[in-house]
Amino acid sequence: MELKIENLSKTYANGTKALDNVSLSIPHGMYGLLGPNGAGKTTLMRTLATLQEPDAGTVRLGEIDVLKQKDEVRRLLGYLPQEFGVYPRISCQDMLSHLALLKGITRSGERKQVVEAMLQRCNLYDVRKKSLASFSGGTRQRFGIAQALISNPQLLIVDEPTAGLDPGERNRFYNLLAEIGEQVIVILSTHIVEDVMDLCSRMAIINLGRVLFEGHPEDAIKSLAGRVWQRSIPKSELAGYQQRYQVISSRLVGGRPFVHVLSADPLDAGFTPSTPNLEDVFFTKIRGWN
Amino acid sequence: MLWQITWFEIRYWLRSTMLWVFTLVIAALFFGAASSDHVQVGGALSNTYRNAPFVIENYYAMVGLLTLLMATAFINSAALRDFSNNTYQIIFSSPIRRRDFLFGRFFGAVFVSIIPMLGVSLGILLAKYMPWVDAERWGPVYWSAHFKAIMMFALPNTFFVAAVLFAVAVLARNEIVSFVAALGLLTGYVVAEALTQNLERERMGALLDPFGIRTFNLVTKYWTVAEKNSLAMGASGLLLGNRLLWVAVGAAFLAFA
Repeated sequence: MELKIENLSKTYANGTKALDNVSLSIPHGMYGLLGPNGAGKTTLMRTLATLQEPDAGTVRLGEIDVLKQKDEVRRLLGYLPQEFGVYPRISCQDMLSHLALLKGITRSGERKQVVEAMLQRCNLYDVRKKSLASFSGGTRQRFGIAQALISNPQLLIVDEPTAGLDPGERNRFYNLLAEIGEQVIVILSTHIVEDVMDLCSRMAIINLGRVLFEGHPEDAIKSLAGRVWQRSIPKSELAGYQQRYQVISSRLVGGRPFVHVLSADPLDAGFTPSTPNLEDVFFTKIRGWN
Repeated sequence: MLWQITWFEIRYWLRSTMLWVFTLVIAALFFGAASSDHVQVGGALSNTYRNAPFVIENYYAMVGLLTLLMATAFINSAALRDFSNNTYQIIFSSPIRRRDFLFGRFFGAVFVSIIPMLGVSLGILLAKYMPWVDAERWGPVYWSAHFKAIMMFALPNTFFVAAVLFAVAVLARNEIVSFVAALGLLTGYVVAEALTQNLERERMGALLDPFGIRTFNLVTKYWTVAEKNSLAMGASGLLLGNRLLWVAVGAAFLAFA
């Protein structure tokens, strides 16, 4: 099965163009959707999750028209929203069981088994009787992924899943996703470059509602080969550098700005060649350079 | 699916302390009213037994006004929980049938809203055994009166109130609007009662009372003490007409939502 998005557009009432003629085709496996905050990622995710309508365009999941046959999509969908709450006074197990019911696992014997297996799989079994409201960020996120996986989805959408997780939790979360990503379509939306780098075989970069790049992360990196230069500079010269060069990024290393610069021609004056990474690609695309 | 959602809703509230606090408050109130003249609900108990079927039904007719705001809390939560707790994205991307989901929540909320009303029975049943009560004023326990009072008053009143408030909550998605609607129901009721005090339109007023309080008063107006002590009004005549009317109005509100 493949998810095909064609010419999707959405403008909000306040004039924000969240999606501007977006077309993507998303095959099996982990697909990274990379963009800064406010790029339109969440709008796209919510549209795919049948929670809101675009102004124009089509989305097909295999034979299913996602925008019209919502119930068919929902039967195949697992969705982890960017932010979600839980009911007060309810245990992890009871809530998961209730959500499993709503997702169509109506026979109680079967539901019990499925819930139990999912609690084990998401490492929630020990806390299954605890109140969801008392969970920490990481545990709650594990519950989020558990509910997204409970109905064995063919299309899994996870929106900014690692926000607020510590490195250990993030790692566990990745392993879970990678395991699932072998069989189904997984769309991972994030503003964190390493998430995509570590997990995804295909990706898209979007900003201000437009698709700036679609393809394999390695191809994107290769396109910058030999064109990224780096050096450490005094703070006072940063503004000058930004005027003179195409500065991809600058971050502080030991208190001094460390810049990556895009240039087809070799640069002298203390620059050394840098091996491009996905972050260079990301910032280059977002700034509209080629 | 419908009943599984209803059952979830009921269990969800059975765990809450709010429900049991409400029930105890109502039980304490009617315990006081039945066992002592210092506490009165809707007038003093005159010459009947203090636990006469008449008293039980009268209390059940009136308790709906007291529990109205409690019911609002339950019904609001049933209708709006996914928005106030930010779970709607998960719930509404599931293949649920809207009808099953809303009705399941609704029936669960109705059932839960009736529980505090049972405090009436609890209060009256307990009061009988208090050492300070005058045994001559207490008749035998008429279980049928409790049952009929629940069926004729608690259930239809709650259904009507819940249907109106549920419709408001689903359409307005705002808790404040819901509570204003509940207060509107209450004041509207009092105003309507004042306007229909006219004797000639007694039967009309009795039919139009959504809580059936005036209906009950009209039907029992000329009952003797002996009748009040032994008869429990069931589904017949004017009361049945009134109940059917308001359940139908409630159903119309639900259909609208």
